[in-house]
Amino acid sequence: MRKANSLEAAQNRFGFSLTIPALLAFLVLIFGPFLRSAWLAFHEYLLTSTEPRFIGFANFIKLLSDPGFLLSWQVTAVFVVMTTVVTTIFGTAYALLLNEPMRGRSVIRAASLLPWVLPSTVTALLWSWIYNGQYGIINAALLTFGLTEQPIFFLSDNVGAMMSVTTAKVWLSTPVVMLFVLAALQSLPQEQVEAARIDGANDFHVIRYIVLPHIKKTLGVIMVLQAMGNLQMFDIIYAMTSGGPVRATTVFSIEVYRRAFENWDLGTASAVGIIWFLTIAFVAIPYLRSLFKDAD
Amino acid sequence: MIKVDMTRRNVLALAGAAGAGYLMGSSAGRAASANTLVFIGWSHTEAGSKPFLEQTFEKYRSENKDIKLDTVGVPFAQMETTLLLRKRSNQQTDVGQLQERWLSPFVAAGGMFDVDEIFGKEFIDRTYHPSALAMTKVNGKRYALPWVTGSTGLVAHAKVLQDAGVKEMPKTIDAFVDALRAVKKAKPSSSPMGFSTKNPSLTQLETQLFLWTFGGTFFKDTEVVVDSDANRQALALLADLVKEGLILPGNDRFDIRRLYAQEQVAFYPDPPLARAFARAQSGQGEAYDKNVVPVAMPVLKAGDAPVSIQWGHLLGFFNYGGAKPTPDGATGRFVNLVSQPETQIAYYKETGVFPATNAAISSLKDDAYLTKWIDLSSTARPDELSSFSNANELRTVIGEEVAAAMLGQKTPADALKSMSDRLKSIGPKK
Repeated sequence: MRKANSLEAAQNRFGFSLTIPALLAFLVLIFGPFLRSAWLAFHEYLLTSTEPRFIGFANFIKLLSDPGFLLSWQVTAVFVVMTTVVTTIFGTAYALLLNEPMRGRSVIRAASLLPWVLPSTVTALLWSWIYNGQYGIINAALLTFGLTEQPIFFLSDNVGAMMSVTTAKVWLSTPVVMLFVLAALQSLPQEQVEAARIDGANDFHVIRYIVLPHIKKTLGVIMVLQAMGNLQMFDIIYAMTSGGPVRATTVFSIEVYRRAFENWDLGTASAVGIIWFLTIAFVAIPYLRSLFKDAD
Repeated sequence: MIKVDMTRRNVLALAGAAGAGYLMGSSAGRAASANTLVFIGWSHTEAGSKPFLEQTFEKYRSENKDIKLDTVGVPFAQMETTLLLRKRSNQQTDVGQLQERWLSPFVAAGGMFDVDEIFGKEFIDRTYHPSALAMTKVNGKRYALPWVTGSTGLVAHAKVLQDAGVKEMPKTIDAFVDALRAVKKAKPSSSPMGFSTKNPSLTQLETQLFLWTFGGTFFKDTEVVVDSDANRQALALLADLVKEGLILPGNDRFDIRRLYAQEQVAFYPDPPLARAFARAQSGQGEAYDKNVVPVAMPVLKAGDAPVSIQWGHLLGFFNYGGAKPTPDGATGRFVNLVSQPETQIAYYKETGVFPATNAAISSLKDDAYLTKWIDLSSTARPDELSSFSNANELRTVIGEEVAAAMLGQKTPADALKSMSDRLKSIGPKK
């Protein structure tokens, strides 16, 4: 018995020693900067200052009483909810379509991944031109078909700008969702579908009562992962609108960048980072808990 | 199979040797830096000035074979942050290109040399034009040398105006708006007035021209005075120009320069290097010069003095990880090269940026573009925020509120009220 215990302990020690490189990388590259950031959030510290000055919760109080910051919370929520929901719907619908037998299905599946493999800045530029007020293809079409008399400056309008960045992100992420759902659909027992068809089920019934329950778990994981990723989205928004017009697309990541690198206020930027982290944690913790529960 | 016997002692010895090697390597690197000159700027990354500046750098390298010149190019919008990050990481930076309005925050951050102490007051006074030197002073000391000078005023497009039937340059705001309407009528796709609504920093700068024209200002010394009748009128005009389609929103100055070269803009605010961009972006080179016309900012009523904003590129000397500059060392030789009359004149001829030295200015007194612009610059005032160490934060607030009014998100009165409250809560710092 004692021998078995010591063997188990040795195995545990060996297992732990294997995680040391990853743990070290985590401590140095993630946890250390996070602690530093948390510490800075309680200090007044400009990029031009020599030393940080402790000011307690002043940065948080300043942020929570700033209507601009509260707006960026709202903007982040709108962006995350819209992109996550729309991408999931489009990705699922697309996967169902590509799951059907058709000629050239493999080529279409491969080509559908193109938006995902393009660099995100290329995607951002592409969509900026599509929405451009003077030269954009959307305006050209609207003007040609007489649907508008004046060009619409999508990127200079609050709703238009949010719609533009959301579209770009949805276009970029739909292939990933499609891929996950398509993989989940491969394990769908065809006998169930055939039995349902014999019982008179139409396409809607099959999707509603057989397909969706089968891929429910996958969809849950995809939505949580997407929400976490969208909460961290920076490049597409910065390249398309820089957070504007005014603050209409200033999500948390842009807010941190502006405060740190445009206003040079590292203390307040760190405080935004902490609030941002707590917001992500709010989404991530239930997901991680369910993941660990499944593992147990 | 290769077998390696490593004891803990071996590993420690190896780590010690590696550490010593690293330290020796980095000290060698520091010693080598005495013969390395690091210049950082943005003009040598831009289409208009890149060819000339690269030639100048090559000339420096060929004349100073004992010195390694490293040039670091950074986009204009990233320049301030990059410089500050180099300061924080003590990365060698000897000479840096600065916009005149950035000097005060960099001096406040520390690590800049007093140029009178390095190059001598007498040399500086003798070499540079007094109006250019005025931009280099902070708290009574000179912390930079002027490189190029001028003012941010209004640039007109001769062909666009001619096509619209506008025969003479508008002198008053009313005539200016009429001219814009004529251009819009002749070319409905155009943005008759080019104005930056996308970049808060440029929005603030360009708004200043209109505020001053109407008699308003942002600050009176350190007091916030934005919520005034004059400013309300000026902002209402800008908002009306957007409503009428006379300013198309969603552009910054870099977009507008492109539109100008495509004959889609009749007027826009820019410093003298407007000509270089027009040459490069029209694809017609010097043949396009005839279209680039500097004009006086229209006034509210006849007899008022037209406004413009002091503008210049400076050379700052930084104590960021390098050696102290000397007049005959690497830095001094760089200054000598770029301030030589022939270099300054050639730079002007290539790009349109005005020389800052007395010798170059006096030898160009027959040049119409330069004399016209210098004449218009006689009433140029410094950017209102340039003396504040927290100018960036203030600029963002002003830019955001002006854009909100111009894009119809707020009324001009509400935007100014909100701007006033926000500026007061931040407080301008000297």
